[in-house]
Amino acid sequence: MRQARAWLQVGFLPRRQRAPWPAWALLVCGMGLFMAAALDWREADTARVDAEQALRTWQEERQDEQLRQRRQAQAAATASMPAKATPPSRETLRNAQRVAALLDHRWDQLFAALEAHTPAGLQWLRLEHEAEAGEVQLEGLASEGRLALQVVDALAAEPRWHEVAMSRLEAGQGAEGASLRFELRARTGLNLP
Amino acid sequence: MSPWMLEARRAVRAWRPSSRPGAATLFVQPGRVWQLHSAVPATELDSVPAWCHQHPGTSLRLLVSGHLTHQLCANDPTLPLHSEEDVQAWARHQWQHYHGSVAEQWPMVAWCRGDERGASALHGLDLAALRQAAQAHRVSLLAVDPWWTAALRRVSIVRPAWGQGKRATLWLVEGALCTAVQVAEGRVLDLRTRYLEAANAEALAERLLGLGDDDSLLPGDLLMGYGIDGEARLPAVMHSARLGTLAGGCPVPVEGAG
Repeated sequence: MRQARAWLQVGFLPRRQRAPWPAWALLVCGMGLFMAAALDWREADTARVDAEQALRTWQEERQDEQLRQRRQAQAAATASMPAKATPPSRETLRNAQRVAALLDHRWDQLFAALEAHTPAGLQWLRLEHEAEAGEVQLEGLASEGRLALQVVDALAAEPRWHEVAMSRLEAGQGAEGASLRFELRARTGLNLP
Repeated sequence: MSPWMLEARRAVRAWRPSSRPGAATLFVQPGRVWQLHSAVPATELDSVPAWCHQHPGTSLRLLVSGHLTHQLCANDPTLPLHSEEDVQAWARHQWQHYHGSVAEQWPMVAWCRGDERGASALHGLDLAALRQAAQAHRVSLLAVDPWWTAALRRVSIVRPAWGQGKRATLWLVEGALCTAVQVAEGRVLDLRTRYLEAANAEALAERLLGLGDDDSLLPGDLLMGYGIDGEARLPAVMHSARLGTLAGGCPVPVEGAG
């Protein structure tokens, strides 16, 4: 449905467009309040910015103070330490070198030689090895004296084994009956430098 | 209430739209003043200043009879009138030609809304004196309108679709004076003033039906007004076009239309 067109309306008095003076008074009051509020807000904002700046300054000073105290504590701890570390003694060094050399000793070659020349019927009871001196002391049980001698000969034939000798041989009692208890000594080239 | 608060209240009231309820409506004729009521018949008053004296601090709206105004429409589309100022200057020149230099002082209102171009002049009422009287009694004079524009307002309320289509005429009868408001598609095309031989039904019928041309009452036209004797003797076609009684001493208000 078409909207009806409004009829022409005329009058001899000018249509009042201007707001009455109370409206202007209210407007002025409103603007005054607005200005006051704006000024208050500005002051509050300035105070907030100042407070934040003060807080930042305080935090920075506190961090600087903590850093300074930490440096002082570190300096005090450093001062309480010996000025220079004592150099290790010769004996300490030698012991350390010895331990290091023992760790590097060729135990595998020693055991490989013993395993390679241990015939059936022979049992090893004890092994003592002075790594520095290269001395080896072995004790074992042999079902026959021939086997003990065979071991002595075989070890003596090894390139790094020297002065292999039977130091003791006596009758003993093994797990499989009567046997010979023997002990042999030798020097090896496996000793430490 | 302090005086300045009273003054503030009056100023705010004066600023409110003139059609607000609570403002009294007076109809001003030559030598007579009526107060129009919505529910009860109009009451005749002594004068507008007397009413202001009796109702200080109130609001007032005046409707001016066609007997106190002149109307002129610029129907010729070739007239170089492009603004209200152009129309007002043209209308004042026309009235000065017919009524002499007295027309220079008449309060005028002009309009220029597309092909609606015209002007009204208030020649029978001292508007300045009225405003002064109202101001003296703190009465807010909200509007001083020619009756034809108030009548159009009334028609738009009781017959909203009238005049929004093809050409029609609102015949405003005020005794022997008849103002024809010709409209089409919601626009006021012409305002013409005609006079009857007498302020009675026969003269009105003769004027509106006798010519049988464009200047006559046609189907779709409306008839309203006051001051006609022997209203019952009007032909049936005029009765059907009638909007309210024509017999009273003043127009019926908007709400009282029937």
